[in-house]
Amino acid sequence: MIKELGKNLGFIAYKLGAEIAPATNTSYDASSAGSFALLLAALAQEADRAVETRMSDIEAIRALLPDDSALPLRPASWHLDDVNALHADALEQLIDVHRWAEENDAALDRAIWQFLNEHASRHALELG
Amino acid sequence: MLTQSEPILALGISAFHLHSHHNEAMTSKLEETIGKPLAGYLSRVWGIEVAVDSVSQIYGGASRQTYRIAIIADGEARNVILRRDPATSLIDTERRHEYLTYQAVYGTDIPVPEPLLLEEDATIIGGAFSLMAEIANCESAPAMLAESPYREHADKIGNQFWSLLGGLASRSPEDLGVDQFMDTPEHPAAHELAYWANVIRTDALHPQPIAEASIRWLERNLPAATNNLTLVHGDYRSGNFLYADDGEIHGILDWEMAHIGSPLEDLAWSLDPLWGNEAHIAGNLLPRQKAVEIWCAASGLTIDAQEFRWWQVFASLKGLAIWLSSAEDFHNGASKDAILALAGWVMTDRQNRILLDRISPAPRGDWAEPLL
Repeated sequence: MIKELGKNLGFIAYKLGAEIAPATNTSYDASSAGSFALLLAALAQEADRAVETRMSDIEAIRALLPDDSALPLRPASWHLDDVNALHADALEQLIDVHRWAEENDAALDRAIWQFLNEHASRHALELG
Repeated sequence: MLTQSEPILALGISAFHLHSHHNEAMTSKLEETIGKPLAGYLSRVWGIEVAVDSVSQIYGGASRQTYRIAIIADGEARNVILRRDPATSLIDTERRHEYLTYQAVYGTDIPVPEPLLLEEDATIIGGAFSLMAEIANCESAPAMLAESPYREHADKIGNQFWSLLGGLASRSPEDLGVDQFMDTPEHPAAHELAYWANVIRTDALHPQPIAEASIRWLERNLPAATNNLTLVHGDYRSGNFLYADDGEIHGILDWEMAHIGSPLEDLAWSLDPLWGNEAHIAGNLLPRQKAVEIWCAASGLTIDAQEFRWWQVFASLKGLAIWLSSAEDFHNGASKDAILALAGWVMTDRQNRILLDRISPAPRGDWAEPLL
């Protein structure tokens, strides 16, 4: 097991971008390797937090949905694909509720915008 | 997957920016697949002896490849730029659309590379292709605008950039002749919104609550149809023009998304915060308000503030649609080019935050200034 997966993926991304990419033979290959390095850096950020961010979204959305909404309490498993499936289900329901709230419930509309801001911050990538 | 076109993705990311001067030796693969067949083809078509000296690929979009090719034609050396569609592209190619647009604009005061040749027979080098003369000794990378000697010329470059766009807005589609091969929409804003909303709903791999809220906002605030139609570049931004180290702009590139529409579409797109590192500096060049003033002076047009706000929000939604489509292309397509995944993830993340700053009732203002 590699401990501190995100941090160590970040080191690999840095080596790829700073050491390997410049040593390639063409600027096309260098740019391609640089893009892979950035992608790896994004994956490094996501690795540690992927389940947490999605479950935080799901719980926040649950609080915005009607009491009788049919959103499962847990994903089918903790495999990321299953967490993503529940996350997609929650977002679909949120979109429907938001459409309704815009016309019918200003307070709920504001709460959903607040959620969307928090959601974007939770998932933000910082590759600066 | 995008069907209108796919722009070269000029990612505004600096972490591993590479500006290398590699020795661009022609690889044996490029020599076999492009160099040799192209030399034979050009010799036939031009009726002179043509040899290909080198071929190097330019990094950019994955579904439309761009190459710099050094040829020797009748003993004279010259560089050309070849753009190729993938072999699976439809017959009515993006190559033809872009090539005809280059022909329409070439010779006006809007600088573009000289279009040399269009070949839609996909069997020659594995896809329809076009050739253009290279505009040499120029940069196009957005990141270079922040580096010396270019940053010292930011004002000069910015003045030209938005003056040229204003000049484009001052011409009618009929003047340029683009109405001969482009559709004229009855309601440009409604037409563009319908197109890009459909891209999002077709291509998104995961539900998009911010995009959906943005589409509803745009539907509620749709401006009236305009009679002021012009040629819209469709991807007018930093990264799609060539500039020299004295600050002169020598070429506007990448016209494959060109269409007839509202002149405000290009202006809003060029000002999107995505194209710069600072929200208030458009394209790393000029303050947004200054850019708008230059455009107005060059175009002779005045701006309806409410309509322009609509186009600014639309620009961010269109960007989001392109990034979501890139992710879909990476996920389902044959190409596993990193740039598609990077755009589909990193740019989606940033564009979502820009949209939130634009239409959320309580914007944080971290990613976009208020709409102009």
